[in-house]
Amino acid sequence: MHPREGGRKIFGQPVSRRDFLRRSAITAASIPTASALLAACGKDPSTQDTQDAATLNNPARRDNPITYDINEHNGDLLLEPGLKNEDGPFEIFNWEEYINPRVVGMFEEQYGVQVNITTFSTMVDAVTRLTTREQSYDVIMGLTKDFVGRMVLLDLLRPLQHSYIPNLEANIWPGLGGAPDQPFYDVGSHYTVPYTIYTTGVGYRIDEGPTDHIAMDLSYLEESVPAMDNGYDLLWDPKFKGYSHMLDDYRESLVMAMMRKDPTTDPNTGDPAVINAARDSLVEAIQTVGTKFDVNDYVDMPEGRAYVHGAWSGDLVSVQYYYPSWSSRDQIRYWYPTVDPGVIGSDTIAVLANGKNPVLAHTFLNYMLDFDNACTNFKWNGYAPPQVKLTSPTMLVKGAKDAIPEYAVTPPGLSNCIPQEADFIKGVEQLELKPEVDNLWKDAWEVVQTT
Amino acid sequence: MSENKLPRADRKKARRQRKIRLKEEGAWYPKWYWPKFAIPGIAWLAVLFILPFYAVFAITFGYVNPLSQVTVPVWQPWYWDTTAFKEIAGRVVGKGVPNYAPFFIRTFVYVAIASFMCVVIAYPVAYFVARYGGRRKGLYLMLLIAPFWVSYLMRMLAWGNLLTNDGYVNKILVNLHILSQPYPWLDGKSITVVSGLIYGYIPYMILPLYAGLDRISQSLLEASRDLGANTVRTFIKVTLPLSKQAIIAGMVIVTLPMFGDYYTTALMSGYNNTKMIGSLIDDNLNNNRTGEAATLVLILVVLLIIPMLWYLRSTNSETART
Repeated sequence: MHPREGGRKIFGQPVSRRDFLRRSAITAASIPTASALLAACGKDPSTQDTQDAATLNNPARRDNPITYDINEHNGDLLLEPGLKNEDGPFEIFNWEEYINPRVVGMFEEQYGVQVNITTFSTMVDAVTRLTTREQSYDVIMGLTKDFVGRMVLLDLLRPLQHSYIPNLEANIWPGLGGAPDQPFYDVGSHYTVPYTIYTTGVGYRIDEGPTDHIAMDLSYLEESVPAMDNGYDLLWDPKFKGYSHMLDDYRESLVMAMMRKDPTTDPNTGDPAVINAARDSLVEAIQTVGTKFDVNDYVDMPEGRAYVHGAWSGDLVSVQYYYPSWSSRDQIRYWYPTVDPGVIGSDTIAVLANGKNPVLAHTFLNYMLDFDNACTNFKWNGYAPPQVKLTSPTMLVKGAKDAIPEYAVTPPGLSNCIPQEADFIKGVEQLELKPEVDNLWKDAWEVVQTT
Repeated sequence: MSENKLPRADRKKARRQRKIRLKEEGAWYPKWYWPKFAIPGIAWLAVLFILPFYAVFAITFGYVNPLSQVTVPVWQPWYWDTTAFKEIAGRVVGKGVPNYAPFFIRTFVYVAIASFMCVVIAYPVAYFVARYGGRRKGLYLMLLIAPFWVSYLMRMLAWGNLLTNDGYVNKILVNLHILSQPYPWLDGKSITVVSGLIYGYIPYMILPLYAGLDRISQSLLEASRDLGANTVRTFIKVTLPLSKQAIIAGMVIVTLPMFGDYYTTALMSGYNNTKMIGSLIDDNLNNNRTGEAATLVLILVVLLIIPMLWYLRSTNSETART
């Protein structure tokens, strides 16, 4: 399940992230304490954050790497080397179902600590809770790159003492922190280490003929789609009217519409014309194809509710667990651009500033960057780790020549769901936007949602 | 002559005498004796309604921290920024982009139909239990309350599965030749959403109706019969008017949560063409636009005050009459 989703399961049924309970939680969390109220009485509160806004006007890009100065942001919290682990309990702040419980259990056993997991549903939910509540957590998992800068500038993260995390340099792709001058969004890995990698593409069914729920023969897609230069067109194909779903995520879906029109579009563009053209394209899809927006790609496709679906690669690795009992388990494929740049991403783990077990938190980061632990985690959540030992993506694919038997769970037909390091060089990433640009994107998305 | 028509001095005197008399009888209480029993209720309201409601105002007229993207409530009314509120209010009346008017109209139509159907379906059930339940009333009541034992969300998810193209509902309808092919119930159909609302909220209608019907004295019905009215006329002239308050109470109980409902349409459809006001609020929260969501909540509350006032007026006039 992708982190942006924040969905949950009840008795095996996925519930959309539109979980009304968390809404009330977000709103409640927005209410400050009485002391804050009194402190704010003196002047117009909205003017107090103008300085914060200025810091966002230089977001990290590949051609604009950002190095956060440890001394400016919680430098006093940098640990001395060689300290002993604390006794816990160890508090993890994470998305719903984004870490293998077995990996957690192994950590508890190995270090003799109790681990508690608290979940959040969106990055804003996470930031709200971290800034307005007294509750402390040791690490945050699945921290998306577009929020790394904000978290550092808000002094929510503790600078990392690399002597506790030898696996970072030893095991991780150079571009994501294995090299000292990387990654571009946190040069030198001062505050974050990478967690998982994924791409965004199009999932499609390849059923051979009519069944209970597939009324058309889709088998031709198995050959024709991989040859397509622009697989995004599948999502606009009227043939799939009523069975075409896209991701309910304003960045992902608008970017798909942009890439469909022009694969070289900057997915972080601030050009209103490009954003509005993408908006109109999505509106067109709703009107002609009846597009539905959700984040249930890993359920809707195996159950036949969607024949084509904008999808995250990691979700499609997990799709094998959601087929109906009577169905064949190899009916879904994934299209990701092979010639043009595609959308690629990675999530991070960071140590939180107010955690009570900072040494143990560093130990945990090192533990998660261990090859076996990272691959065990992949087996469960479908999102691959950026490990240097994974020299080929097929090492995680069932039946491949170089497959690692204990970790190769990816169905052969979905081997392109495992990103390679080269994909990061060719691909494009959705990164932090300036506030005014972010508003343009959200305005466009609101029109799509109300069409 | 009543006390109010006496001259002022005499009025005071009469009150004093009344007070002395009541004291002698041990039936006099200080002025604030009875009202102070309301203090817990008032405190409850203040903590759980007035303060949160003020928080909605503070968020509505607050601002978004550009760094954390967290909506920051502004508690001092003199700093409130009404720009966003005006913009959203404009969208509600169709003067802005996107246009929220269709969502408001749709919500009112869905809720009106669902509430009406809840009455139509629940009334006979409640009537049966109240009039013919006999010794089994307890059992029937328990069965009526049984749906409450299962989470609303779970019940909707269960229907979601039953209504899929290859679900049992379509299988039965096709096998019975009522449908020639499976009907896409979950593909943005209003009928599915309204049915979901009816199914989800009907227990809340049955209980107040039962309570109201059970209180109607059997002797009144017998009197109607004795005066020559047949069963239908007795129902129309006696039972229905006497159960009016129960119907209104039931309507209020089901319509208020229906107006804020978004998970029924999310689970039973998920398409834009069946979105309700609650869906707009949810979408805005999803987009980190808590202020806009709070504005919609505020507008919805203002709209809901109208039926609430009608309910209060109706209840008061009924109390005065009896």
